[in-house]
Amino acid sequence: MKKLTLEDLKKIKEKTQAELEMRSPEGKDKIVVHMGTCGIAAGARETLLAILDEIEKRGLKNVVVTQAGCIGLCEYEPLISVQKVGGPKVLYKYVTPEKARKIIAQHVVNGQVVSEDVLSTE
Amino acid sequence: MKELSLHILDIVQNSIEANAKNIYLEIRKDLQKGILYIIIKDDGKGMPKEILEEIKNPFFTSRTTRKVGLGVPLFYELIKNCGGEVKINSEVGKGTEIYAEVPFLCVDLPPMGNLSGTILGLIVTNPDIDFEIKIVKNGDEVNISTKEIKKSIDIPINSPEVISFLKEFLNENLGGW
Repeated sequence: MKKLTLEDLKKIKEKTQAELEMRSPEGKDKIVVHMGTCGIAAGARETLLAILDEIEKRGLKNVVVTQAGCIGLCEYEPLISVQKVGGPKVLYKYVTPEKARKIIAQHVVNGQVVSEDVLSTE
Repeated sequence: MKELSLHILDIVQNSIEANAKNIYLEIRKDLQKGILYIIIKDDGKGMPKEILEEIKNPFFTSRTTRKVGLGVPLFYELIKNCGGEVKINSEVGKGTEIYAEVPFLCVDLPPMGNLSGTILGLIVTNPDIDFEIKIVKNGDEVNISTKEIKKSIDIPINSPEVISFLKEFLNENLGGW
């Protein structure tokens, strides 16, 4: 029987303890991936996994990714929204994994909205 | 949907929408009987009888953003067309349980696909929910308890380091699905 052991978890703790003090105390940038049936069927899981991959590779500690249900804009799925601290909420349409990686690099990291993929801004 | 793991992801979304704090997911493949079992239990708000009766109807939804609800009907039709069975029990205020069994050699059954990606996505994007996940295949068992993980680390379960660890762990243990 394979089970996630306490040893495995201790390894994470040791690895990350030193980095804890470096965390920014201010709010976090938010990314929401819409995961209704329409979103999932259109490829939202792959989009989400690409986002998580970028967060992991770039070590983005001030970004939190959550999910939400269908917002009734099924024809534009996969949809994600990005809100940087203090910035507007930008809803992106047809977000393939490739587009998601671009949005992370351009918007989340460098603060430049990827205007050609924007559906709306709040 | 091209993968069974996408259907599972979709069904678990209902538990999340129902404000569940604890979600149990079991996927068990019995090679001798040729049956795949999928069990999802949550402690969400549950459904009254009148909604439960309509849940397999694609033109019924409790949402207001659109007029169809396809998650459960798609899953139900898929399992039924393969000669399987889906049972749904729910009680208001207590939660919902979905139990499905299906012959896994059915030609119409899509492959399991990226199960590790489905589980990673669920865990990381829902840090406030405790997931108990049990995957059993031919006697081999993989157990994941996010409550246990959260107790043992000082950082959020959606931190880059934990994502990295979970990804490796899931790929290593569920790669064969």
